[in-house]
Amino acid sequence: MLRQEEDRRLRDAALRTLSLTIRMHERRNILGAIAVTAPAGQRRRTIYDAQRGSQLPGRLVRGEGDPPSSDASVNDAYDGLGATYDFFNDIFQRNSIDDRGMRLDASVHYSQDYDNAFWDGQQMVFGDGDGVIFLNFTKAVDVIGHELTHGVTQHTANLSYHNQSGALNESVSDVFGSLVKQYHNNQDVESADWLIGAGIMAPGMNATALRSMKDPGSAYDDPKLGGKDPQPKQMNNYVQLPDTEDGDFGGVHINSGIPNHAFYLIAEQLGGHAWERAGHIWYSALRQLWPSAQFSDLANITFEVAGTLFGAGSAEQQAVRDAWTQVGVAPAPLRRRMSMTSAKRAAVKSSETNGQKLKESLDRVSLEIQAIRNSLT
Amino acid sequence: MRISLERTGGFHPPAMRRRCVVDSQSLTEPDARELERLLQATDLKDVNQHRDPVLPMPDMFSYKIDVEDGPEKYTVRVSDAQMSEALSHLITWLKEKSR
Repeated sequence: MLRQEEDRRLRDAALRTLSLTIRMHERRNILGAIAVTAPAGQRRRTIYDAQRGSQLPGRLVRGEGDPPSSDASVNDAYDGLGATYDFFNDIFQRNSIDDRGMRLDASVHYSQDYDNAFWDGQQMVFGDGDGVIFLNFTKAVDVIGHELTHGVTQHTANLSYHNQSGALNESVSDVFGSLVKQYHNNQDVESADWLIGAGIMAPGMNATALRSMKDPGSAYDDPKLGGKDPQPKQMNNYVQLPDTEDGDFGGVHINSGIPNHAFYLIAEQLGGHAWERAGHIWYSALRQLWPSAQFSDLANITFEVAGTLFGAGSAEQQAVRDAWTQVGVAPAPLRRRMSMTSAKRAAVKSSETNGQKLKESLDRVSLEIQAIRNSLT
Repeated sequence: MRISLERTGGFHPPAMRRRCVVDSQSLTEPDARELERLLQATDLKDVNQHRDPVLPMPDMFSYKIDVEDGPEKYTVRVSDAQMSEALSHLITWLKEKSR
C-alpha cells in the first residue's frame, strides 16, 4: 500500500515535469507564431486627429490607401511616414521600425500651439506649432524621419538616453532623418542642406533650422530660441551638462553635433548619394551597438564595418578614419574588444549550456523514475 | 497664489526651454475664477502620486509646476507621456496668460 502510494506520487511528479516541458514548447511555438511579420514593402499607415487635445491617438482620419484628406497636416504626416518607410525598406531592406512590418501610427493637431513632435514608444505625435517660432511639425520630413528613427534605435542598439549614448541616440536620428529627406528628394551630398528642422521655422526668425550637420553651431542665433545654436563639432568642445531633464540628460541634443559632423565629413569625402556608402556603414553599426555605447565605440565600429563592407584600407575606411579623427574621436586600432555582440554570444552560449544541463538532469530524473517503476512492478 | 511653469525637453531643448509665472493677484476676476476651476479639474496636488517613475523618452517635453498658495507650497512634475486632458488645459492656459 505504502509502495503503491509512493509509486503514484512519483508518477504524478514525472507527468507534471513532462506536461511543463510540453507547455514550454507550446509557448515557444505560440510566441514564434505571434510575431507574424507583415510582408516587406507593405506600408501600414494610420493618421489620427487629436483635435487640439492631449488624448492619444484621437479620431482616425486616414488609413493606408485612403484618398488624401482636406487637411494638409494629415497628408504631410501620411507622406512623411511613407517616405521614412520607403527609405528603410529600399535602402536597408528593413521592414518598418521593428523590421517586422510594424504599423506606423501618427496623431496630428496634438494639444494647442504645441511646439514639438515626439515618438512615444508606439506612435508619432505632432503639434501645430505656435506660428510665431515654429510652424506645423509635419512640414519637415527630416523631423518625421528623426522621430521614427528613435523607434528603429529602440528596436536595435537601444542606446540609453543619457550623456554620450544619449547623444548617439539623437545623432542616429538626425543622420537617418536627414537621409530620409535626401532620398525622398533624390539629393546628393552637395545639393542636400544637411539641416534638421529647416521646414518648421516660422518666418522672421534668425534661424535656418534647429541643427546643422554640415556646420554644427551655425543653425540659429535668435533670442526667441534662447540665443545661439550651442552644438559643438569637436570633442574638445563637448558640453558637460547634468544628467537631468533640465540638463537635457547630459546635453544629448547638443553633443550629438559631434557624431553628426563625423557622418557629414565621411559623406562629403565620398560624394554621391550619402545613403549609398556612409548610410550603409552607419546602419550596420547601429545594429551592432549596445545601450551604453560611447562615441569611441561608434568610431571603432564604423571603422571596422567600413573595412568589412568595402575592404581594409579602402577609400571608405580611410574616410571614416579621417572624419572621426577630425572631430577628435580617432578610431582605435582593432584590438580584441569585448563587443556587445560577443557578450551576447557568450550569454546565449551560457543559456544554451544551462538549457542542455537542465535537459540532461530531467532525462536523468525520468530514467530514475522509470527504474523505480520497473522495480515496483 | 503664484504658479510658475517651467518646460524642458522637446525636439531641440536648448531652443525650446520656456518659463512663465502667473500671479492670481494680478488676474482679472473672471481669469482668477477660471484658474481656480482649472486647478480643481486637475487635482494638481494629487498628480505626482499617480506619476510613473521618470523614464527619459526622446524629444518629449517635461513640465515643472511650482505652486505657492499662502503658506502652502508644492511642486508637480509631469511629462507628455503622462499628460491628462485637464492638466494640458491648465498648461496651455498658463502659457497664454503669461504672454
